[in-house]
Amino acid sequence: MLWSRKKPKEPKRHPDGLPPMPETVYLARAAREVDWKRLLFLCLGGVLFVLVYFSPPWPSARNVDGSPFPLTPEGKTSLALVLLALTWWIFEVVPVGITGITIGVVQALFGIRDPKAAFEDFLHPSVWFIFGSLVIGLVFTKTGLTKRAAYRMLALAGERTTVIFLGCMLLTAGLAHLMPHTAAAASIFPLLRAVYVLYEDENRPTRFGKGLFMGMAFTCGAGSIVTLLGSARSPLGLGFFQEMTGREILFPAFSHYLLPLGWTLVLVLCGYLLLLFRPEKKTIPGLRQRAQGLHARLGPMSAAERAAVVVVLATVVALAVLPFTTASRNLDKTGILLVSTILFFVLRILTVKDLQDLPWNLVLFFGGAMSAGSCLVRTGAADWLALSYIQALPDLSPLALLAVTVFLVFLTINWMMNVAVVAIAIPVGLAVALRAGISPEVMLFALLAVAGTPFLLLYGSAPNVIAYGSGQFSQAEFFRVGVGATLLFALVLASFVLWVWPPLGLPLLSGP
Amino acid sequence: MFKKKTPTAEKPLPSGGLPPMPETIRMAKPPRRIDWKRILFISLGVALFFLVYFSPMWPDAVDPKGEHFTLSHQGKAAIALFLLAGTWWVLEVLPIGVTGIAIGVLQALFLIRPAQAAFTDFMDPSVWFIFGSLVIGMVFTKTGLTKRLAYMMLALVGESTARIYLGCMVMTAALTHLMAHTAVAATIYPLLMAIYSLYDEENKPTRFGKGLFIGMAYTAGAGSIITLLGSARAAVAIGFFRDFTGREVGFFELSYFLFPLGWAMVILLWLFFLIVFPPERKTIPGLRERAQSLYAKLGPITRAEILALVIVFSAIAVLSLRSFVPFLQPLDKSAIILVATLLFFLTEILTVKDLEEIPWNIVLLFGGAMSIGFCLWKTGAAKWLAVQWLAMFQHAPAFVFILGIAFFVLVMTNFIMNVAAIAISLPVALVIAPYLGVAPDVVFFASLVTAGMPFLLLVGAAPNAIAYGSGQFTSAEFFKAGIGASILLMFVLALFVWIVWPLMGMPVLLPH
Repeated sequence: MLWSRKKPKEPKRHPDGLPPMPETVYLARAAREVDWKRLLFLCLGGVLFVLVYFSPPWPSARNVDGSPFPLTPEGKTSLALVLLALTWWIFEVVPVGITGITIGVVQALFGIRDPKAAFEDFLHPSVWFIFGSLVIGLVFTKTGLTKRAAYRMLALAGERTTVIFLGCMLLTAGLAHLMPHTAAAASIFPLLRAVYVLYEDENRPTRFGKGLFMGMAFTCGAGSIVTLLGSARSPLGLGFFQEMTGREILFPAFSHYLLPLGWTLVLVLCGYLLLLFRPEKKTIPGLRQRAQGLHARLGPMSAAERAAVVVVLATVVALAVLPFTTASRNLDKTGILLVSTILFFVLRILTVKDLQDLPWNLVLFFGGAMSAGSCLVRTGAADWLALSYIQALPDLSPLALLAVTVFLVFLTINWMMNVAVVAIAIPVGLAVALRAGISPEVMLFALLAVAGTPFLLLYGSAPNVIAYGSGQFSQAEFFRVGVGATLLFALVLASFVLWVWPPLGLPLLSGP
Repeated sequence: MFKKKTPTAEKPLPSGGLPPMPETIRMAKPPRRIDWKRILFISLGVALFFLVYFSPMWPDAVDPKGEHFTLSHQGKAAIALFLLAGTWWVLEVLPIGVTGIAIGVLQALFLIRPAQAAFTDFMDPSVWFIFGSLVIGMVFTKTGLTKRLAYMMLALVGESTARIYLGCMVMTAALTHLMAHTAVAATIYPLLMAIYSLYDEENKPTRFGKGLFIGMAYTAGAGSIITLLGSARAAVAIGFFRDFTGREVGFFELSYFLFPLGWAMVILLWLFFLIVFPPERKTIPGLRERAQSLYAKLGPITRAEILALVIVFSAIAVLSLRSFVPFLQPLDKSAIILVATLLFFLTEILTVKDLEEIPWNIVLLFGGAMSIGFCLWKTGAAKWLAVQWLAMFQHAPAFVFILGIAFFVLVMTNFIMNVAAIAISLPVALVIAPYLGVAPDVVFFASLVTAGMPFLLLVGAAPNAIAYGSGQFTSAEFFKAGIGASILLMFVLALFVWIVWPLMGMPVLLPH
């Protein structure tokens, strides 16, 4: 009606053999490409859900004392939901946050849980905690603190390649204590590239380069298991732990056990990579000067930078110290962390625009993972899975059971996002621990540690993918090096479970 | 640290009367302007908080039956928090969403409520509902449906300025039936700018401009009360109503009572603006052709637009049918609207980028409003305030009481975001009503009506602020126009409470 067709004013003949111009010219319809793969996986998730949802009731599992443990209809539906969510997450048919929302919607529509309970979990204190650590990561990037720290480190490290290598690794691990390892990797990567250019002009793969970038991926993972700020999985895991055992693990207690493990791992991995990829050159001449020059160009620390450093350090100290004084024992760790968020805005280090720039897709993803996990716990599906699992592995000692569980999680962690794995593995793992007499803390820490170390495949974590972006190594190389790193990790973890944690106050078996 | 710049040439540079060039040149420190007003307002909020928090216990409230209501320590702290949040929201010293976060943090740190309760309230299902309607608004804008509607409207309305007033107001109000009034204002605003440029080339303030933009802001408010989709506050209010009375207000029931009032206000506001801001010119020549050519440029309706329309209308259909069809009854309202969100992403009308562009500041604000609302209620502070307020109305007739409540809300909604106003006022009002033999229904609807129409201050609602962006009026002019409009609103409301609603079957007095 209102749409008028375009008419050419005067028809012209083309000299180059094209057909004469038609009288009316239409806009061709934009070619629509159907993404069949996406559709397929989309439907696969839906089909899995429907199949499980409409399947006849599943057999009961047996309790340790032999009595049956039935799977409620809600429990079965929540298993169906987990299958749907995992399919969509793995193949990323919709943004991960949207899959997160789906988890809430399905719970509400299929009556798995009360809508309020299902939806509220999206901003569970654990998710808020992750939110707070994402904000810290954002502040480090925005104020340029990472850059400054890196230049400082290089100026200190001097020109010997091994020292530079170690310095880079320690800085990476240190950053992963303060912000999610994804953010740490993203902010350190450009700096490592700058260092590498000084070593090798043409960006060709060298042994030093392989060590440097694989090392970044590995130490990001190893460093991130040390504190609660290092990753999204740890706050989530602690949230499930509190829900299932009623006990709270505080910020200092967490690092008390995982700091020795994390740093042992970082050092062992550094040694391993240095042995495997001995740098071709002994020194990088001129690096120190260059770093000093760059540092000078940054100028003196700005007020915003100083304020950010003070706020972050004060927050970490508060998180570590406040639980030990009687007056402040009850202060919630999420509350303490979020004070830093508010201060960033009060001090105008961040503005409304930065609030908008936070990765909200991920926040919704973490919220969905939280909701899915606590859904498994509340409907009894986690217990049912745990019992069926123990039944399938009869006559295993607790230690062997722990080892098998960790190994299973290790297998999945390499090709799935670790938060998705944690949301399912931790509730089930804790249920297993509680039934089999394994200390739930040991199970929790072991699973969180293994979740942070996907050393085999690139899809395991964002730092792996970022490191791959350097072009220094192929996927096959990463896999080969990863096998050794994984074996080392297994050794370190086993010795911690057997010999280090018990004297620190964490026996393998829980009391009778 | 700074590189010293020394002039290369020995001879003095031509100075032209200036003092000789200094040997070293430094960058002057950028002058740091301290925003004293902001610091003052931030401290004001904090001071109010501590003043109330550390004040000695407040006296009990005494109700007409002589019963005493003690304000607990937590209750007093909740009022302190309300004052802090109110100050920060009104003066907007921090992004409104960050103030929302502060509400959760302070509850946790000052032990007003357990951290879990304080933080999970941020994702109450009603906040998800707001999330869903923000997404619908986004889809309308992204697919170009709003523009299409707007051009169609202009082509129909013609060139008379009085009719353009009416057309713009009717369209604004009509759109608020489907999407949040904030989103409506944001999408109508560019269109109004286009219309206005046809009226006055130089974009100077005129009476027509004032009427057009203020009218948009007011009718966005008036229209937004009609359906659940128009604003956040209705969903929040229904949540409170259900918690207090155990009854659900349906999608359709809400519109049944509020539709006549909303449209009466729209028409009356049109007449009001014709009297207060009569346009200087009777017609805008050439407007119709311009709208037609813009419409033609849009081309035929696209697949995305049709899809979006189908999804939105199905969601609205299911929401409205819930009241009649028992089969749909158990479906959660928020879950239904989130299904629409999921479908937008499944059909790829929206992408990850859009997900991150959702105004999270507003979502967090609503989350904070829910958290403070629940905090006031669960700590007993709402009840205490209610009984104090009641003492003033002990001997008033029911009619005066209802209007008194409505007026209270009207004042509150101007000072704080209207979701927060309803979250604070409604629990109070619902507690008082039974004492005076007033049915909760009429209190609910009357406060909902006034909560939606903050005509006095720019901070009252987002449409006010958006309209202010046109530069057509000062905040004082807005305030002056608002006094007349608010009086008009109170008269219309009185008429409805007295005659119209009882005729429509709304219970006004409780049966004895």
